[in-house]
Amino acid sequence: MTERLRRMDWAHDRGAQIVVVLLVAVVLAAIPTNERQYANLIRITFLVLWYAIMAGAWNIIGGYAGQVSFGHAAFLGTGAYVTGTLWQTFHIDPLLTLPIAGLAAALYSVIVGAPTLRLRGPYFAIATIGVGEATRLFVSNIDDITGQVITHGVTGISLPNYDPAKVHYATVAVFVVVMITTILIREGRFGLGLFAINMDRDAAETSGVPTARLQVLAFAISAFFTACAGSLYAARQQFLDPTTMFGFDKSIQVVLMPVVGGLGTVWGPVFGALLFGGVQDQISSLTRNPYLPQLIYGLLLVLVVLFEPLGVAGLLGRASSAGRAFVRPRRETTV
Amino acid sequence: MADSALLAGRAVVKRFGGLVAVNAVDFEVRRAEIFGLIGPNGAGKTTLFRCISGMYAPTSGSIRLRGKEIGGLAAHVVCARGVVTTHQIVRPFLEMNVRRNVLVGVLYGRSGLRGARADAEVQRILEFTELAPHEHIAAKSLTLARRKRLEVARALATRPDVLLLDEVAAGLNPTESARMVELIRRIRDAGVTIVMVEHVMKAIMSVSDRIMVMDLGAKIAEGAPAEIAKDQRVIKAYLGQEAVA
Repeated sequence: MTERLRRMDWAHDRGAQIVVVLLVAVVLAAIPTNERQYANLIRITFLVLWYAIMAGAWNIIGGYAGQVSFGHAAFLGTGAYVTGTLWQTFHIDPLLTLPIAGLAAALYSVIVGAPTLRLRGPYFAIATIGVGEATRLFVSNIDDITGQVITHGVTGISLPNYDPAKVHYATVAVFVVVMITTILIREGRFGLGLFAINMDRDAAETSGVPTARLQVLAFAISAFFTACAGSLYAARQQFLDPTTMFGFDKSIQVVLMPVVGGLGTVWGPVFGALLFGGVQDQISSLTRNPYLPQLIYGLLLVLVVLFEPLGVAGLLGRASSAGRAFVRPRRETTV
Repeated sequence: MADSALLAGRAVVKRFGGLVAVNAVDFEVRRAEIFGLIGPNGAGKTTLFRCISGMYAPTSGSIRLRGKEIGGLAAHVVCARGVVTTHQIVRPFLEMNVRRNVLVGVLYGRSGLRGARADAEVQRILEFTELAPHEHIAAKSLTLARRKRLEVARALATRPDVLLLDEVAAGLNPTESARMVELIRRIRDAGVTIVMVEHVMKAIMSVSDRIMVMDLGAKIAEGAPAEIAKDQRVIKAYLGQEAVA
């Protein structure tokens, strides 16, 4: 009997986790978008979901496959600028451009990832720093190089107004898609291959895992969703500039959220996003000190690295067996 | 002759800069035999293994499986063709439990099984390798003997035609070593051809059908275990010139 249950727990767990995601989505979608007193809640929800989308996307390559990218701002910015350009120049509805923005970033990630993902140890991480910064500088200076107005350089692009309600629903939808994707990948054959690569690339390769192909695919999926976050930002904020969208600080944040929340777990990135989005919002409204949130994140990061490598998800797993079953933080019980 | 051999190497060379680790080695492995590979430290045994399994591309020469070239292919492609290797220093996926380790081999190997049938295959392999009682233990918590078994189990899970075993008995006590030899025999009896590198002479002499001896990158002898033990060049390679004189 226990053996049967154990065999079943894959599918069972997958289904349960997806149900939780859908419940969260229903609650978030029920927030009234056209009433003034909910405007602040909508704003915070966007911030947290936006972070969760990026963190969840990053976790596929960084947490599952163990290839730490410090260059994801390149994909965030690519998504934002593709959407911004299509919207402003060709008047395409920004939400319709999401798949195009995602595919553009995925293509870029394949070009960048195919050679760099072969690198071992810290060298992939170092290479991605270079890619991120080079992309930022390229976008900042492309107008000067070509002599044409394409991105308006560091001054940025101002976009038309757009309905925040639509952005809200789109953000919830993208969040759901990212969560379901990360759940299915993690609990399936693809995820098992990524974790095998994470633990020992040579052993994975000799066990038949096509390591190069899997890593490039994981990187592309990760870039796709990160770019979707960029598109959503463009639709909501209506202003893009390279320093913000391609900034190294964005790349760092995207790494820190899954690490603090629980690296390689499905829910870790969400916990990380809640901490980053929520804490940042509360602290800055209380103190107006822009450096305090960063100080707190730094402290959190030190505590996580020292005491609980699986972050918030790990803490929940320790706290209760129910939490453990839900979050499934320990790798040996999950992968 | 090359066609009758399951796995055949011709003039295989592997060079690292100025060092010739494998120097024009020929070999032929027949179907369902246990082919032993011995030689002093630095003889090039592991390098030759890595050339066969796709971890290294040979500098020159050919390695054929059933007459088809596999030299220089990526390791996962060689695995898909039916040649799989274990690692000299065991390399299980440490954070995964025993069952998941084997599942990697089943899902990415040649079985093509998915879902419940893949689970059943994992169970079969765990029982065959006597690891079933430990299926939920993380690989990092296993003893060395069980890690070595897991290494064999994961390789076996890919359904190889040829299994390359790189020192699977090294570091085991006599009892564990004897059990490993017994497992190797059962794998061969199941129809899998075995090529093994081993330093534990008792293990390899007792289990091998034929043995090839390497020294300083070159093949110096080949034959049945009893002939090899008497071969002057082999004694010289292992014990020095004085022992022969």
